[in-house]
Amino acid sequence: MSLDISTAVADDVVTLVVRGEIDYASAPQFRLALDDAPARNRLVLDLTGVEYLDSAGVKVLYDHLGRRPELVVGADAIILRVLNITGLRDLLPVSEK
Amino acid sequence: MPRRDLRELLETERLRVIFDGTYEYIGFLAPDGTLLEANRASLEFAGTPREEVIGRPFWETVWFVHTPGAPEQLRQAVARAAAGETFRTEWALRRPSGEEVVFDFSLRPVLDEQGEVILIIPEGRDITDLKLAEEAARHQELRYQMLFERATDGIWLADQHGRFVDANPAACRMLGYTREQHVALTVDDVVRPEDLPRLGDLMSELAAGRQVTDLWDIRRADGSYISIELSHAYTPDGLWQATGRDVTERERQRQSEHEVAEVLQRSLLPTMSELDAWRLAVRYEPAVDVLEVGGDWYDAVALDSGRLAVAVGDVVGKGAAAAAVMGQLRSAARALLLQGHGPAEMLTALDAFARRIPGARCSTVFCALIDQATATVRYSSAGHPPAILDKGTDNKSQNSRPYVLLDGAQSTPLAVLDAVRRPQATMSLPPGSTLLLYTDGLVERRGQSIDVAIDAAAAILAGARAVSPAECADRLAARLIGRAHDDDVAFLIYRHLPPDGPAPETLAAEPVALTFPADLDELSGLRATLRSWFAQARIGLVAANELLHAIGEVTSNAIEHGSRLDPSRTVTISLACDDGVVRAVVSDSGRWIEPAADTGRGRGLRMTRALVDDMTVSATGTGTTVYLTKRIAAS
Repeated sequence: MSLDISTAVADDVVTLVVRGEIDYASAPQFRLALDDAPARNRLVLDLTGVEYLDSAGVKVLYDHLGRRPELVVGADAIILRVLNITGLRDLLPVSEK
Repeated sequence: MPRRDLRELLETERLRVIFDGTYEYIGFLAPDGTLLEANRASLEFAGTPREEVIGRPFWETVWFVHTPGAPEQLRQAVARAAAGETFRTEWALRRPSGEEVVFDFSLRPVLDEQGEVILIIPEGRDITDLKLAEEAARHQELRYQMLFERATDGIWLADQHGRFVDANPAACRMLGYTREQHVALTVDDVVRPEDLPRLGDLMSELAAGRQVTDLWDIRRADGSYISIELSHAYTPDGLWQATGRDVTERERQRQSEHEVAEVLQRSLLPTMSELDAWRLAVRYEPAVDVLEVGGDWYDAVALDSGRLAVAVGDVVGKGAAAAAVMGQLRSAARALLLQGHGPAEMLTALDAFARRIPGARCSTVFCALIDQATATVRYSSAGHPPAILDKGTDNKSQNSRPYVLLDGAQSTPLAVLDAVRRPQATMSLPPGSTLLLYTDGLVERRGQSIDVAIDAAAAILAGARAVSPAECADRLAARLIGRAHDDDVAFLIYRHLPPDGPAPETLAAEPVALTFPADLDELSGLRATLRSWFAQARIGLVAANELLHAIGEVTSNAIEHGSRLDPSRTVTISLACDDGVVRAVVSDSGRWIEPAADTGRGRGLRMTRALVDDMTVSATGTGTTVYLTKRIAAS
């Protein structure tokens, strides 16, 4: 499965809806989308459609800590487990959908 | 000014008062050095009558003759003053008694209108005490400087913006910087990025006047991290001072003690694969903190075809010692249950046993005997939190909760009282009901009442009626233990289905071996293959996702580092599932590189270790093989 990222820009908030799998092959695409997201007060990363997130994706998130992205994840998702293990859960606002 | 005029001048009362009243030693000399006048203080100091000294050359007077070399030095100084120079020096002079006094001594020439020196004013001020104080202060500072320079502990000073102001040689050695390099850094440069929020907390603690001692991972010049235990305080002049030593070795030691306790603990807990057929699931999650590991346990024993004894317990102590006590108690409990003792009888017998094991006193145990034919559970608790029974259906007609607590047979912990008759109670098991036995770590949260946590656990049970006990256990663990937990947790789940229900299938799948080129683009297709194999093996979604991530990390590491992204090399994954244990083996032909913890790879490895029960790396000259093991129950 490939990675699909759509970016919605409003006055105050940029929302990236990410679907698919983030791994070592697709992480550059994820990084590019985050780099290109225009600066707004809030950056929301909707990860509810992400089925796989490995340490390459985690590193991209770590590299963007400065932008304080707000993460949205599915309840019960493995993604939440990954965020917990890698410490991101404590560094970024994470909400469960 | 002629001498006579001077004498007359001093006869005027007001000047005389000033002249004699001052504590300084003051006088008048003729340009040739003859002492014309000396004030009362100086005469008292010398302890000499005025007549003895007036009219004599100044250097032959009592103030100077007791100090070797002083008369000659003074004569030269007077000659210079007579030539119009002001002379000033610090001078240690001896009294007749030999006692040394330090003077701030000066000779000042007085000129007439023509610029001729007509008079020299000698002045002396006793600065002995001042000199002593200065010297003491200097010694004090030298002592502190020596402490700072020679301390074996590192000492850092930083300003309130986190810029290093100074670091002692021990600190510089510890981190591998020169002092110049070190003071060019800020605190932010040397702590882990994820620790940055802790800095703010620390600053507010210190600002509140508290002293703090804590543990930090500090980055060395070579990029590696060491653990330093630091004591922080503000200095009186508002600098942040931290003192600490490298405890990396100690932390490694603690970590390995943690692992020993955990391995011991895990090895003493039963493997439950033979009990899948009983619709049981068990979990043990060791405390994150080293010192808290050990002591929680579970057990399940099939007594005959329709009866199952289950128990959970908690030993008071921690660490390997508690794990050992736990092992003994569990074995004793198991033996008693196999002999046919009911729950209350078993606990009474266990009391006698626990009294003979040091460290077993005050342990708690909950024991339940499940009878599938009569659909009942008999139970007894020795000071242990009550089990939770989800009834399997929501009772909408009444306003009652969909769960009950098995709290009808509570009594004291083991070996506390001499002769206890342990109570026993019975509860019926509706079809589809789920029984949860647990240790307190599952429901004890700081700032939350146990009732709220029990409600939360019951809600998870109610929401998991349609899924397997294993998946139900996954959910409980994820939602109630997920974050860093500071206590051991053990729990056991039993799902009651009528005996004529479908027989649970054993969990197994055909082993497979997948070999593919070392190319990151292979990962996506590989995951699809793994997913279908997990489905075939009837592995639940949660466990499947965990395995997928664990294997994925190891595999991408094998592609990137083991095979250096060279697609002519290959990576092989083999998978097997037997008796509810999945084993995955990932091999490449490259060298194993242990990644640094804060890199993407380091996190990946931490993730893998967290998601499987065991990860073992075997690296040889010809390649690297990683073995992953994860225990799983059928979905």
